Amino acid sequence: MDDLIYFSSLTVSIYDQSLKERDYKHQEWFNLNQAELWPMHVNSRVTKLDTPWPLANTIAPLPTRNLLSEKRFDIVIESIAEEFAQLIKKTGRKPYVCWSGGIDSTAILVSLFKTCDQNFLNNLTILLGKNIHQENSYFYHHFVKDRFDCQDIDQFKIDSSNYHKIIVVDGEAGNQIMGHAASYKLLYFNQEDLLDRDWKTIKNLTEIYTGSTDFHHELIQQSIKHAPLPITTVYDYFWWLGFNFKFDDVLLRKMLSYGKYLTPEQSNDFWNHGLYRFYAHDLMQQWSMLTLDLRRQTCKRTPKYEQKKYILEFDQNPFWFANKHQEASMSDVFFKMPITNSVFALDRAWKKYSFSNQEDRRALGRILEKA
Amino acid sequence: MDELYSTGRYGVVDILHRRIWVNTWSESLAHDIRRVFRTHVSTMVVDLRCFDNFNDELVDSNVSLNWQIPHMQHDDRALRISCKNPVHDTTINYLSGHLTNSQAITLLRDQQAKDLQQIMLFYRYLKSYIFDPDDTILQSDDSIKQKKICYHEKIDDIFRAEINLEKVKGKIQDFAETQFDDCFDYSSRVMLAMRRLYG
Repeated sequence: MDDLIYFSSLTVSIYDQSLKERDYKHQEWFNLNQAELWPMHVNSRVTKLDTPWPLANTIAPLPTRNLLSEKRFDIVIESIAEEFAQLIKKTGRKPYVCWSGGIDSTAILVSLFKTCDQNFLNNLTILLGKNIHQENSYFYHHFVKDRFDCQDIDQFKIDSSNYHKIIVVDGEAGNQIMGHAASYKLLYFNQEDLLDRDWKTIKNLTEIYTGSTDFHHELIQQSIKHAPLPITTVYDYFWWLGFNFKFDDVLLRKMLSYGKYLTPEQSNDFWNHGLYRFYAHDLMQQWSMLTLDLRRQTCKRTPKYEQKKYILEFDQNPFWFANKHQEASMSDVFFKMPITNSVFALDRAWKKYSFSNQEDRRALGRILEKA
Repeated sequence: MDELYSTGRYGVVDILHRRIWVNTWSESLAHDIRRVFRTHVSTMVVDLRCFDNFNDELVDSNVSLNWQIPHMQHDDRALRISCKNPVHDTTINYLSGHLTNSQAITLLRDQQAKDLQQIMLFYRYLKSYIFDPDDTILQSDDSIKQKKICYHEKIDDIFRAEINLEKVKGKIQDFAETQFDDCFDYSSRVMLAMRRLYG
């Protein structure tokens, strides 16, 4: 067990609760998950974390140069959609888009509807989350139903027969691009002024980030020294928390589901050629860095303002624009995976490590000095 | 339009903007509104008697959008907007403080908010007046019961899928007309209600 690109400390601590006890030498790493929306798998994209498990380098390095000057969300997401359509044309693979009805995946659908030709759209299958009618019934009935091939995402299976013939798009990393829910909570609690404050002037950061400890803030502040842009305000601080520490987690966690029926070689192929992440695209990440100050202001009107404005211009639904808020939706299917699935780690060769395997359990015990 | 008037202790309250969309005496109706309109706005059902200045005459459908519940300081259970948050399936009765008469700051214009409220009030009227929860038919033979439940669900789906009152009315009327043979009593009550409300 080495070079782990994914290690769910949450899953491992569910298996062995004693890892969180005070007298265990690495307990602080397993208690990190008590903080709100902290990643199950933690990695820093700019520093090497001194985890007790053998953590590989990030699978999502930051874009090296920021050449983007475009601040308009519509132009950025549509250029990514156009690139995706070209890729589909070039590879001949069949496109699937996971649509939960939430903000991130709806913005992706809009960009595809606006930019892609009819041949592409005829070939597209939309994988529907089970909460569509609660999340965005209007959009479903007016823009999806009877117009596109739709399939229940719970019935969708990637296996040896199709992994090399498809490309799956999902909305992962949208939250990390747009901002952090801890910021939105401050808005609700009528503390929006805090978002503009220099985080260094906050006496006790653990009070404004629910469940966090000094160890969280040590990790965050250590990484801030290596951030490619100034992390000045409380809004920046929370955004950086997600952008730096959670990016790997959100990109990899679904691989437990996507790769469930795949060999390590097939998983590797699917990861490299069968997945297309709009929000992890270099352009989108650069846009996120470029518009940090802008979003700090617009989130006070409504979180994810830019995406929602983009969707409003397409669907003309003022209620969804004004009222829709970020929530865990499609990801819930996969959040359950670490609990219902015994896989707790993946290495760089896409080998899975599972509690159902005695050797893996022993190796884990040795690594964590619990054997 | 007085038929749409509503008041009561159970408020369907905007989770983030804290304003009261509709209030009613029926707790189950309040939860029906919450569930069906969830796709348009995230709400929770709050027992307005928690608040010390609430009385039966204070809040009604004419003014409820101008009333806000207090911030839920240090209590974010209800703030987690998710289909799976069990807090939202129950009536929230653990809050305290004052209701305030103030405008919520949202991206929705006043008229747009009133339009959505009118659709909610129309839904409340249909549910409370047309679909009597004590309807004995609902407790009858299985096949009839299934048709009735299906009727309810189809009506709910129309309210979920549309955001314009005229379109909702049109679809409800079209649906009722197609169901005369299968659900005569419901469809005739729907048609009667439509005439009473909108001529």
